[in-house]
Amino acid sequence: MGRALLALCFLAFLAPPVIAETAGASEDLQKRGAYVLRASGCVTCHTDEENGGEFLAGGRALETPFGTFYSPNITFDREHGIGAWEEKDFHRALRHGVAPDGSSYYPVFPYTTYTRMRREDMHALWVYLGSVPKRARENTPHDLVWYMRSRMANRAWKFLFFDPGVYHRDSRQSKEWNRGAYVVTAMAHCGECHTPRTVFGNVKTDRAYAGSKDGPESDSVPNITPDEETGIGDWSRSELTDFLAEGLMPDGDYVGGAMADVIDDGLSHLEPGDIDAIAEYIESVKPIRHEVD
Amino acid sequence: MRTFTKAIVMIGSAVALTVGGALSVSADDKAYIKYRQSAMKAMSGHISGAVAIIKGQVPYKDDLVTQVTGLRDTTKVLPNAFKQKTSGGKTRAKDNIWEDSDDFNQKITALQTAAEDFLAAAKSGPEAAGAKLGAVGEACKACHKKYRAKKS
Repeated sequence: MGRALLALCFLAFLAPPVIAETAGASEDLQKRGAYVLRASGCVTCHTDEENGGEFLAGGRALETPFGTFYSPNITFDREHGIGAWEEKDFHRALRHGVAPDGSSYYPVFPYTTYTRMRREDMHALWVYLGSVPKRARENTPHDLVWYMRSRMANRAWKFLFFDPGVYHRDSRQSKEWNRGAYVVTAMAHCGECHTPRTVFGNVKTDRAYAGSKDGPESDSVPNITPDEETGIGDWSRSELTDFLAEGLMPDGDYVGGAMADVIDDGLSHLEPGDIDAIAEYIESVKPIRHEVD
Repeated sequence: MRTFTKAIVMIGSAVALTVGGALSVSADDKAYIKYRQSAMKAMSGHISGAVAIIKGQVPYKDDLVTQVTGLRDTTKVLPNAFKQKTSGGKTRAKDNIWEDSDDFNQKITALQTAAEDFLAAAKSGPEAAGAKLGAVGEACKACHKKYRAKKS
């Protein structure tokens, strides 16, 4: 079992970037893009499931201390989605947080994480999005506090708090750890909710994964560092992977709230090898004592 | 002057009563909340036990059917456990349980069905049971997503 998992991780890590796009290769690419979509948690925000919204057509409300954001339509509809974009616009959005018109995105769109994504994964995601049915759903304008209404502020924010750049593997760590670090910090963006933020809305990097009292939807977000008392230090590996893959908690309870969506729309679609890799990485972060609830 | 003082006292008590009423929880509600929470805890206890057996973390295969029967039986008390709307108190049950009660009850029925399937599979052994656990989890999560508030 352990060996099979390891082999899987190894394969996932070695999966070569696809360059030639013959018919079969293109299908593989779409599949890989669909996987990147799930691993990156795109569905949870870009589909308004609660109100029966269509797949990736946006409109999901996300309440934050800065106001309510409504996710945009990312289907290839030319007018309301991203169908009029070129692929380089898409890469720029993910890598640099810049929209085709040159304005900067609000960091509620976790380009701060996606900037670390490898080019071939971005490419696969783009190809996959092109295969998703187009939906002509008009975007809902955000409803923000006055000082956040201008996107000019986003530029300043970026200048202060954003370092663009692809993920670099840490050669002192195992392959599995590196895969986990990549999935967590370049795709799944766990830290966007689980790391507390300052009043400026940037994550407190020295408090990584220590949880937050005021996460999205004004809910508290648990401390997921390996601290024994206030984090998940007393969870076993299989308790953690069961949680990530299914939402089953160590006491036999099943998760609800935003994390249930994160699991159902995202993590539950991942290969067991990637779930294990995520656990390997999360278990290695610095334990921080921080009581959230 | 006395009339004025009286008025202040009256308004003050009215406010105190209203606020106090909203914050406190009646003894009856406390009992209902406790009953509800015991049912939920019983289910998580049985699931946790069943998972330990299914994963082979404990060697008590013979107890699997007992654990899953416990879960199945507890799902049957849920309709009553959530019948009474309570207000205030230490609970994560959201008010929409009683506003969207048709949907809520459908979700309970879905859980009961999943638990029956889980039990039928458990009778063939841990491996078969393991294949049916996921559906139980789906039913749990579907309800928790919509009707359970996060810890505050």
